[in-house]
Formats: sequence, C-alpha cells, structure tokens
Amino acid sequence: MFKLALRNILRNKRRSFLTGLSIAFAVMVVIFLWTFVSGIISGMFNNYVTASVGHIRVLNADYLKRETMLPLSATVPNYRQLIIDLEKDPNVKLATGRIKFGVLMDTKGKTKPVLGVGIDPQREEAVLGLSRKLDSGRVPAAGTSETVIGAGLARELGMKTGDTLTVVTQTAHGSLSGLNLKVVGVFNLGVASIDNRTFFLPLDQAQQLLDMDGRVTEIFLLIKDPDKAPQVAAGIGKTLPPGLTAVPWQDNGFLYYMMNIIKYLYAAIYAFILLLASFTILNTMFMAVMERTKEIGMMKALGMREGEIGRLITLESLILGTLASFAGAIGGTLLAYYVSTIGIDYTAAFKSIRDIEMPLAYIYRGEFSWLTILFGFMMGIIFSVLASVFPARRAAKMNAVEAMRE
Amino acid sequence: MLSVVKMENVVKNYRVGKVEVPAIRGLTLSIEKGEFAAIAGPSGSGKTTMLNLFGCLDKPTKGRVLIEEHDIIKMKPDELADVRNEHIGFIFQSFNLIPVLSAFENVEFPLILLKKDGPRARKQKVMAMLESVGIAELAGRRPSEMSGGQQQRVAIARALVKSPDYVLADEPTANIDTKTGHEILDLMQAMNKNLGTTFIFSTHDPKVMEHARRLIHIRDGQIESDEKR
Repeated sequence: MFKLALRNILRNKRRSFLTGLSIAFAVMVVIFLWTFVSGIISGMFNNYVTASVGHIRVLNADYLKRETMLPLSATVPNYRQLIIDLEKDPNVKLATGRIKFGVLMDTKGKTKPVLGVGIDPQREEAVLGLSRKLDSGRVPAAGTSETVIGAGLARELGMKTGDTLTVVTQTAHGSLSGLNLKVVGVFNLGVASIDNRTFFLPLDQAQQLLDMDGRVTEIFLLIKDPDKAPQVAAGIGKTLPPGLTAVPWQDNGFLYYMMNIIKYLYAAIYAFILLLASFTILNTMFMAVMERTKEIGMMKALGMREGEIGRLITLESLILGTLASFAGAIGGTLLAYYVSTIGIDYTAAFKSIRDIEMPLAYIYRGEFSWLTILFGFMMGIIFSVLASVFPARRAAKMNAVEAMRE
Repeated sequence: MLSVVKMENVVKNYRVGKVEVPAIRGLTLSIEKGEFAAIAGPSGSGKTTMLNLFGCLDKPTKGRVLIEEHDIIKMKPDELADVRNEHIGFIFQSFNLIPVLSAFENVEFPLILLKKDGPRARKQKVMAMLESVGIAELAGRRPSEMSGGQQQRVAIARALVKSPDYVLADEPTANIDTKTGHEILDLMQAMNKNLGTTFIFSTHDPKVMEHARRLIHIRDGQIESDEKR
C-alpha cells in the first residue's frame, strides 16, 4: 500500500513537487517567524521584566497598596540580610535591592515626572545588563555620584554624556534633599515607557539622597523558571518578616495579558499560513482523486473497502506532507539559526526615524529552539493530513459503477 | 446442480432525473458451477446491469440476488466489498490495470486486499498465474509498456489469482483485435476447463458467442433465449 501511494505521488511529478514546495515553504516561514518573533517577544519581556517588575519582587505590603505613589515611608528594612536569606532558596537565581523614587524635572518649561532608580551596579550587570544597552558612555560606579539616563529622557532634557543632572526630591522623612549627578552614559532598553522617563544611579547614592540607610523600596528577584513565579512567590511569602510580601510578575496584569495576546495572535498567523499551504494539498488531492475516478472505481470493484481507499489517499498526502515538511524544516532550521545568531540589523531602517518616539533596538535576534522546528515540522504534517480528509472521503464514497463508466 | 449465483424475479430501475428507467424487468436466472456462459444482446439491453448485479456492484430494485444463498440486498458496502474480494473475479473491457504498478504487482493487488497470504505465498501464486496466462516474462513491465492483449492477460491473471467462485467479464475482447480476442477467449476457456472456474461474460460479437457453452440472449431487460450447448 505504501508503495502504491508513493508511486501515485510520483505519477504527476511536477504537480507533487509544486505542492510539496508550498508546504515546505510554509513550514520554513512558520519556523523562521516563530523563532524570530519569540526572540523579539522574549527580548521585550526580558527588558520589561528586568527593568521594572522582575520575576518576583519582595515589597512592603503597604507599599504595594500605594505603589503608583512610590511611597518611601513603606520600605524593606535590613535588605542585605534579606538578600542573603532569599538567595538560599534553590529556585532563586539572584536577588538585588532597588529604590524607586519620583522626581520632578524641568523640560523646556514643562514639569515632567521622572523615575529615579537606585541600583547595585555590580549585581545589576546580571539583571539589567546596562553595559550592553548603552547608546553612549559607561555604567555608573558604586559610591560615586554618577548616573545613566534613558535615551528618550536625554533627548527631552537635551542632555548628553558629561552633563550634570540636578535632582531635587523629598527624603523618606519628608524633608527636601538634592544631589548633582554626573551623566556618564545614555541607555536604550527598547521599552519606551522606561527609556523616556528613567535614570539609574548607584543604590548607595539613592539611600543617601533619600535618607534610607540600609533600606530599599523593593528586593528584585530573578528565578530559574519564570513560569513558576506564582508558586515560588507563595513559598517565599511564608518565610518573609511580617509586613513584607512577594509579588510574581504574572500579577502585573497588563504585561501578562499582553504576553498572552501576542502569543495567541502569532499562533493564529502561523495557523493561517499553514492553512493556505494546506489548500494546495487539498486541491492537488482533489485533482488526483478526480483523475483517477475510473481507477478508484475499479479498485472498489476488486473488493477494496471504503476505509482502505480513504486511507490510501490520506497516506499519499501524509507521505507528500512529511517529505515536504522535512525539507521545510531543514530550510527553517538554517534560517532560524541565521536569525538567532546573526540577527537582523534594523539600524539603517531606523536611522531616518530616530527622532520619533519608539522603542529602538538595533539588532533583533530570534530565539533558536529545536522545539519550534519540531513543532513546525509536525504542523506541516498534521495540516497535510487534515487537508486530505475531504478528497479521501470523496474517493471512498464513490460509486464503483458510475466511476468506471467515465 | 450447484448454483454459484442466482437472480430471482429481479427488477432494476435507474433514476434519470425524475424518471425511473427500467433496465431489468423481472429476470430469473441461475448460473451453475463450472459454466462458461455468455450474456448476449444489443447495447442497452441490460447486459452491463446484469453483470453489475452479479458483481455486487449494484443492488436490485426488486427481487433477490443470491450468492451462495446469501441475499446481497441486506449487505452493507463493506460486506459487499468483502464478497467481491473473496468470491468474484473481474475482467473489464478496458483492462483497468493500475498504471503505476507492474504486471506482477497488479496481479498481486487482490491478494494483498484479501490479507490471507504472506509475501512468499503471494509471489508463488502470482508467478504461477502469470505463467498460465503466458506472460511470466513480462512480470516487471508496467501496463503502458504492454500491448492490449498482454494487458488483458494480466487482467485475467488478476481475476483468477484469488481462485474466485466466478469471474465476470464485461466485453473482454471489445478493445483488442480479432486474432488476439480469440487468443484471450481460448485462454479463458482453458482456465474454465483446467481450473473449473465459472465464467460469465457479456458480448455482442457473434464470433465470441460461438465459444460459449451456454448462451443467454437478453433484450429489453428480459431473457429472450437461454440455450445450453
């Protein structure tokens, strides 16, 4: 039966080849897009997570209630000891303290709320990795009054590396305090909401400025499996001193929602591409069935059951789909490898629109995964078989007498 | 006498649009084991309809068709397929071989559907059958590489290889020249004699009718004459 199916495919070589080509192409495009898009998504996710919500954050429960106000009165005390304790948890990759505080800044006569973030420059290399995301300059060193500012903010303030940023704010106790920071670099995370209104300074400087010695507003955690953040957070929550709470990233409703929307949206696009390709299979198999009407009638007359005829047509589609999907998977693997190692450089494309406010990245890289390739391969096969269902039914239900009369 | 297939008061109407057109109008006939019977008549007389009913490819509108005393009217499509597979051999006017398979594979095909023999037993049966139809040396050829007479020999081998109870042949010599046609008929006759296979074939060629030992004339869906020689 397999032999018969294979020879039937080879009967019209050009048609089978073209059909195979469209499936192979669809599988290739799906693997490529999947790799590329998941690279972009996980890049965005990473930037957003590492810059603002973390996998899990440990906060003062009161702070959480009024988080939009950035209340410096509800903080996390003894943060150094807490970090040491938290890092003992086998699920936790890294813990680091941060202080977020609001500052009003004067930009071209308008007052703009800006977010200052005090960070531990050494530890944050593994989190934010600021040194890899600089447009210019370098990362501030601990113990110095230096800062890196977002690219969007720098444009708005008309500032560049070497300028001085004057920060005036209220301390945790409500008194007024100020600091002159030297701008040593400009960063670009590719997330507009961060790049346009954030500056980073060493944690010790922030503590000094805000009169928060030994305290932070949050402890920021990266864990081994981000998808398990809710469970890990629940576990950590039990061990925390009273008044503190652990918040997983999934609790940030908007980010979680967006991540899911994007995932489903692209899944729909992949399905659509494969659907188009499977129409060519549908068409080819219908033509093959029609052409062979007489032959199918004869096979029924010889005593072939309806199911056996249906299976023969499906088998032909399966063989063609498998061969084509395999070819597509090879092509897709090469493309995926290219896009995930070398990436696609958008610098030239974005140069002309530099002044427009949008998240700029320079080179987008895909996320190479054998699972994606396997998935594309399997999808190609599954869609090929599904497309053969109608032609196979048509062949199976044919009336032998009428079929042979043709 | 033992009947292999029997018709009792069979009526068969075809629907053409909204009109019922009668093809067989009340026909009773029994074919006995070992017969070499020709069904003759002008075109449109109902020959092909009769063969289709004998071949379980169609069901009667009224009356009964009995194969080994089983009425086919109650059977489901798959059961009919199994009956065709196990009991009936088919030879078609236009050979109807599977073009992508070799002569050997075409003859092997019904044995594969039958699922009774392993590859070795199948090979033996197929080669023996190709030998007896005289084209063993063409076993590897595709239908497109053979003459009409050779293709019909393959078709005969295909019909006989599973040792069916009876073989139906719809105008088996219509598409080949007279000389080859005689050879084919001689071959069928030899098979009938040597293997005892029952043959039922339709024809409107008087020369072909001469070969038959039973000649059934039909006209307008009814038996006109039925003579045994």
